[in-house]
Amino acid sequence: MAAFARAVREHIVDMCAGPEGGHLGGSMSAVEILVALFFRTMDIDPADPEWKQRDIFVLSKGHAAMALYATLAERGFIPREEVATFCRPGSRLATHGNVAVPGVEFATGSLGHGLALANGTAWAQRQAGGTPGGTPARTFVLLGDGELQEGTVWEAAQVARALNADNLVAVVDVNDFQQTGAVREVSDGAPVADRWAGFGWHTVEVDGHDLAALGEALDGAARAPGPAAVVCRTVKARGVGVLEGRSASHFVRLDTERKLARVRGSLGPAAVPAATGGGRSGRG
Amino acid sequence: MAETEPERMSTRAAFADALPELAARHNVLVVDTDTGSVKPAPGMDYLNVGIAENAAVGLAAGAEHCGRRALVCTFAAFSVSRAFEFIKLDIAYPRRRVCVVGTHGGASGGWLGPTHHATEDLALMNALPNMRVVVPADARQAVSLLGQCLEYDGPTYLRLGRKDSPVFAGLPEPELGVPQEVRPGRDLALVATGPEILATALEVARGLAAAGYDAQVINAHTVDPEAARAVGRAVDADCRWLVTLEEAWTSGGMGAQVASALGARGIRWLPLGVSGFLPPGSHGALLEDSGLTAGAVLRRVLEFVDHP
Repeated sequence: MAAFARAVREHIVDMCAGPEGGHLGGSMSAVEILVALFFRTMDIDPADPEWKQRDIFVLSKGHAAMALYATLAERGFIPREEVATFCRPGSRLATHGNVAVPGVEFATGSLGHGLALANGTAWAQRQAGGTPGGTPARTFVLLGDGELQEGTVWEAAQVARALNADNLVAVVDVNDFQQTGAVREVSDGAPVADRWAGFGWHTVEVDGHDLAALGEALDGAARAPGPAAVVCRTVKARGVGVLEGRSASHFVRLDTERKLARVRGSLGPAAVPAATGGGRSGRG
Repeated sequence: MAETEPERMSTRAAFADALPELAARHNVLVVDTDTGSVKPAPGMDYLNVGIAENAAVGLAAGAEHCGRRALVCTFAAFSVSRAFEFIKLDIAYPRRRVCVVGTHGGASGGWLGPTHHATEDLALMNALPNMRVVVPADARQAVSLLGQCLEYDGPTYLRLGRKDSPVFAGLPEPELGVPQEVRPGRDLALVATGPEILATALEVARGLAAAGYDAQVINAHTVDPEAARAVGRAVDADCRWLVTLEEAWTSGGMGAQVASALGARGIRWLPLGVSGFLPPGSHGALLEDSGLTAGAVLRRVLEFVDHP
């Protein structure tokens, strides 16, 4: 999985070298979270993206779409070559999540929508009841820590608890930064995990770049009674040495060969996997 | 020609009575926001998510994504303007089979005051591509149009009134998106939306007849731009004047859509509706203050046709 994570990072850097640039920092901080979900935890089938029994992923922090597209490319939902079309004429790959892309369930980008949508998918999954003798499919929703400033997140969090949504997992990418600076300097809320716990959610904290720890935390959260939050400590622009932990990494356009070479160079040695990760994964 | 019956009934009450059977028949998830307007019944999937309109709309969208039709019941004042962006992005854009119901439409919130009046809802919903915007003319039409919204292959907004309102005898079964000619006429067209307003239009038509004008009356129970084009086609070819009446701000409501559809005909247009924010007051008093009662409308229409 580490090799896939590395490949996803390469794709993200390449997309930032496209005509529009991209949200590099918040995409890089979410790479291991997405790889853990799409390569280990979620029951999905790249050959049948709309399979009715699938686990559903909602990218509530829709500006991290580059990380999702790159993960979908490595997982076999879309061709790897398509990544090069990011924000170019005729491309499906837009700055924010585009539902024309297989594996992108909702058009997100306006923050604060994902958890409300996830309440609906998780409810429908519980109603459907899963395979005979099996548990219902699950919904995983990825939020950013800046996004938690949107009040609709907490409206939906309360509803999730009231509905006892035990097949719903919120994953929070706590990279400490938003567009204009540190989250705690823009609006200093209570510690993230305390807030979810205060809303009655089963809450765990984990190193959001440790694939093994993430996998265990996500599996545990999915088994927990009621809705569960996995609060991931991450680093903005993780893996890009020259931009790590800086709010300037929020949106980056690598519009010169020199900039691109500098960022590529800071990724370290390549270990790109040879084949995409096709086939079913997850609960089975 | 339609006449009002002695008995009155609110479109909200008719909705509440009919919903359980219709929701079960069409396998619809009903999401309520603590409105008290829904009567849960066995066989109906019902979630009261509390006072949380954005979360309610999002939940309905998520369930629909997984194949379940949904209905969200709210007060119009809260569903449409508070949750507008959720309706726009999560319902209208992906053309979801979700019906957003707004009770207390127009000025029917009455003494609840301007926080509960919804005179912006038609303009906001009409601004959204894909959205059918529906205002039943009476309790019977509310039931019929609710059923049609729950079968419609896309998003709908159903605006209902809070207070008892006229019920019409002789009004034909409505068809979503198709205007109804309630009274034929050749001189001017009165296009009306909503129960109190349709009753007013019919009374005004009688007054105009006494003054020598033959007024066509059209019930526009669907008011979105697509439906307004149908209204435009239904307006008699000889009509020289268009009068639109609605319990809404005229900036983007039914009248603006119809006038837009009829613009190429160069027909003169008198838009009648609510102007400005309304104070607290009885529903009747607010309609009167807005110049939407029969006497006031008749005076304004006569002035309009005499001095266009």
